Amino acid sequence: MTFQPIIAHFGHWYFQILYAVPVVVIVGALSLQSWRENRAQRRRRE
Amino acid sequence: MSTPRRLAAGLSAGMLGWLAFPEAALAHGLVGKTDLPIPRWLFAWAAAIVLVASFVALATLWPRARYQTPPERQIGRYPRLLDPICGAIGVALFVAVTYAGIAGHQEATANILPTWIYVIFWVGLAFASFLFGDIFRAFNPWRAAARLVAWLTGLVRPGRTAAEPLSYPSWLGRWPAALGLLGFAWLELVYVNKDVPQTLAFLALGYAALQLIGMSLYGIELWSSRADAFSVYFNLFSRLSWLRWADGRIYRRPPFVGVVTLEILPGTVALLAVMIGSTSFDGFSVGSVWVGSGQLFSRLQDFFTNLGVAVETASELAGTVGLLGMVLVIAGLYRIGVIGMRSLGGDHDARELSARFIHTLVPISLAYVVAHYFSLLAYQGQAISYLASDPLGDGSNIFGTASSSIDYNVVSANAIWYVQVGALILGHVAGLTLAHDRALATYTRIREATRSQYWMLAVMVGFTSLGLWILSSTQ
Repeated sequence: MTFQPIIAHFGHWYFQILYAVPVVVIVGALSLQSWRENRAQRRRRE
Repeated sequence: MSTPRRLAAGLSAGMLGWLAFPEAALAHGLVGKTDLPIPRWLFAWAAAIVLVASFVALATLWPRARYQTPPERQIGRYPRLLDPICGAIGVALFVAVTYAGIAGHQEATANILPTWIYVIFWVGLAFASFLFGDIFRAFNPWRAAARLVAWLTGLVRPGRTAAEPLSYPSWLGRWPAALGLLGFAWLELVYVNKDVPQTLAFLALGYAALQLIGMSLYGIELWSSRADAFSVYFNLFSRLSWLRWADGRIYRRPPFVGVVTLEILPGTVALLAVMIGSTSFDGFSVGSVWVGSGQLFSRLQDFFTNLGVAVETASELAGTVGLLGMVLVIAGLYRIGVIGMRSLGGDHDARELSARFIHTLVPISLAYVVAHYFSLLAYQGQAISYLASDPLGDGSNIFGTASSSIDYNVVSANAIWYVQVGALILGHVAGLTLAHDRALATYTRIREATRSQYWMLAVMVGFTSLGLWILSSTQ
């Protein structure tokens, strides 16, 4: 599979990616939350 | 980057890459065309919102563990004689359908055995176990046969029972059941001759013989509860039921909570991964990413054919890779949740957490079964009406229903989709609730317990999205 046909048939499969959006959003939110907590912890130690 | 974050990033990238295979969706064999008011992917978003809202509600409104011991109330009694009667019926049915498989017509749709095994037994009993409790335990033909032998031994040699000569190794746990279910999934989803009645009949006889040997060596109840794949499988679903039958008494309890008493034994994680992974692969293997020109299946088949393997064997090897791959994906998702849990709260190690929270996957497994097999049961389950009248496919009409047929209008394609979405959401909310309750019992502070479940929430959303994506790509 090459890059070009994937783009060419974008209309056939883009909606499949949309199923992964909730996972990406939640993982992103959790990662951000963890990063903030770790940063706050570091600041408290300093 | 910490381990859970690396895993999460890998998972997200993997899922995106995995979903990015081009090809239009193929039509599922049984479900007709749906006419939905919103796109299917929007259902996945809605399901994720429901899960997040449930998580927030649990964190704020559920401050203490409630269901670590399921509340039960006795609602009735049943005669002890029911057990041997059900056992005798189970043995009679087993003998009848196995005989039909051996002596009857060898076309799968004309013989009762394939429909009996794949629809009535495998799917129907899973639904029934959730609705009515552990029915298979009563009707289990090999357990009934073993109990009869034990009873006869007691009659012939009074004072002596058929004592088991070996003690069941503790390290074995539920591993035999996990391997047994993987074998059955392989038979159903990968094996080329999966619907040849004679093959199925001989495999059923072989499995029954193996169970009888196991029960004679390690004890009937111990073997049934840990090593007999089907006993373990249906028992897990019966733990979600609102009914429990034991020692002549019938108990009522809230649905889903019976599973909290699941004993922590080796092989349980593998068992649940096989249960969810095999159901997922059943849908995935007819989806647009797997089948079709240039897709995963044909690529794997070509790979094995190029190694000099026969086409049929190459097809089975490709299917085996797909099945094992899906089981590993499910096990990996759960592992991510556990590692995330460990990283966010308390000083519990991953092995302990994995065992303590594994029961939360049981409602998810049931949700996958309902979502994937509801249409099969609704449509193909009707075939039993004419197959029962003509089990051998020789033209007989025992009950006068041999000329009946399947009514495909019994449930619409839209209704099936809503049942699938509803089952997945309900199963995952139940899993999330059970995980929250167990976290409250595991961690000393509420905040710690809630934080520990962040990654389980992500895993539940992942399972829901994966399930809906697989279902949508088959329709």
